[in-house]
Amino acid sequence: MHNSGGGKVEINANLVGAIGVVVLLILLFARMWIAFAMILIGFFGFAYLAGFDPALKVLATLPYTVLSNYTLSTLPLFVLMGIVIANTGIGEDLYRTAHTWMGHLRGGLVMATIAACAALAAICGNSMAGTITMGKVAVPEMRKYKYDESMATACVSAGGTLGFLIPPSLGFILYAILTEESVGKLFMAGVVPGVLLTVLMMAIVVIIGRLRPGAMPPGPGTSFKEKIGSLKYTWAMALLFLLVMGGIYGGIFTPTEAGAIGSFGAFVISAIGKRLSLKNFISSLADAIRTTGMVVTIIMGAYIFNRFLAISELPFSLSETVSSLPLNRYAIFAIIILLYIILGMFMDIMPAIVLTVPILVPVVIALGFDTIWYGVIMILVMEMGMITPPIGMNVFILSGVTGSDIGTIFRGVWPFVAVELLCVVILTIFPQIVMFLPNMM
Amino acid sequence: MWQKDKTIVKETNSRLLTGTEAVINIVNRIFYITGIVVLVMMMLMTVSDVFARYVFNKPILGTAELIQFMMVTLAFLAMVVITGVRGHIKVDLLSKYLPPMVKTSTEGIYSFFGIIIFALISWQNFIQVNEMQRTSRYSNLLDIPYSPFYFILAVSCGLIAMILLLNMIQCIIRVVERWK
Repeated sequence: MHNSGGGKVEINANLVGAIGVVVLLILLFARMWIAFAMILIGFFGFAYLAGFDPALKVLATLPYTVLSNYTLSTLPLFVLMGIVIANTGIGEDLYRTAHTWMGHLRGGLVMATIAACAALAAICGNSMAGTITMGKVAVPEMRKYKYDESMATACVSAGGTLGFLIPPSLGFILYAILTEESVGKLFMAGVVPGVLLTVLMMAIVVIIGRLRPGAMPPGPGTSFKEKIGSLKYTWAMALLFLLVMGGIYGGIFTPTEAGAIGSFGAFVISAIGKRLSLKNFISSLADAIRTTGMVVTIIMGAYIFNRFLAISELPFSLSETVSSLPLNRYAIFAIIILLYIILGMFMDIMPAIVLTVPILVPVVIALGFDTIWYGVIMILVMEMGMITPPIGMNVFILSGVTGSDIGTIFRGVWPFVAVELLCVVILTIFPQIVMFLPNMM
Repeated sequence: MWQKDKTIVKETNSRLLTGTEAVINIVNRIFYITGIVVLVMMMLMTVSDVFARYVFNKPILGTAELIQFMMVTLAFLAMVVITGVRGHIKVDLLSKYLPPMVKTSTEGIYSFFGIIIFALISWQNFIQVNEMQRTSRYSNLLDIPYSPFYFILAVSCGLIAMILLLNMIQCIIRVVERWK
């Protein structure tokens, strides 16, 4: 279309790139391992366009360069921090504290669950930990107080999605590695939107509580002494969060160092609380190794696939074409958002990031949007996909943990989806909400 | 603790199947333990570096460089482990609707492709090991040679190819057993 210089050759390469993407999608839905499919198509696509020897050269150099990246070391360390916290029951403490402080309000247990999810998100990098922990602790409690089942479960699956938005977030680390942005800035960019979303979720609970008083009866009150007492275990976690995030924000240490301090701190806190057995210690490390293995393989796959995409010049042509469309950039942006919502319904966040970032980020930048801002929006939207039917991952996980019917959970989820959508709109109209913290670093 | 895939051995009494699974489990155990050691070292070294820097005003020389070496080691050890426990991420959307035999046969085919790519990566990186030795490439600050790390990479990818080979054999056995 716009390739005056390259002529026929360039169109061809674009076409090969597009075929590569289509074949990749087919293989993925045919259940091939994502990383393997990316390496396979990346390698053979590259060989087709540039020759077999240069393609071998990619395999010789890229795996080492990509995986010896200093930024990448944030990943295993933050993964470890989250796993230690999840395995040693610190998440449950957070819930107890929130319960003690908010339980007496109407809808208080739901609010406490959301608050605990947000707090857990602030020390944990994924949405799984929040969903599983709260599914085990908070849902039985809400059942005891005769809360409406769909509300009780929906708030957990929605609250769980805060894990990816509130730093530290594995999604941001992955996005930073793929776009060569700063992990620290992305973390900071997630703070205010995360708080905003938490507040909006609680607000909707208050509104629903007013409309349907029977659905969420208030629990028993607690004395001030009990409230203070409940902070016994949680204050240390708050301190750890402040240390880790404050350290990154103030430039006192790099995100890698923050991750190391975070995981070390989590071990220390759980050891002092007598929660850390040898078995816990080793199984946390083993869990961290597995997650690291999963993610580094798809990162390696993504880089090899991107090499192929880059020489096919597909992302370049695509962004040129899209930005020259006679459409308002927000209209195009809305289409991209829709695409992500759909993708989020069918795919876990990490693979979805790896698949879309190389193709769509150039487009978004060509439209004049900020990369960091876009990273936050993208994560937020995909989280929405994780709780929307038909596949909402978080809902499935929660259903497994609590034994609740999937349909019941989905019924309660809509107010939270609406709130997340509202949050996207707010952040699009006022991008400063996302950007002011990272801009001050 | 060492998550294993028990479903595979449960359904059969094939010697070859249990044997291959045992081999994979042994390799995995070794890589788990080594990985854990590297991860703990990474954490402790970074924490000590920060401590040394702010408390004693004396940062440990070349921490960032060491972290990079540890990261690449950890990454490939972890890659072997995750291949051994069959934990690589896939899109499991259609899983419910597919008969088990279709799943097993496609897994066998994908393992075959996996063998090709990881064998290629392994081979290319063994060449890199020689290349690094020949040109005497060392890291800037600590003079650590690069070749051992390329070696770890090459060996790990070779092992991944072998695990996939065993996995492919298992898939074939299961399909054949089903047919008989």
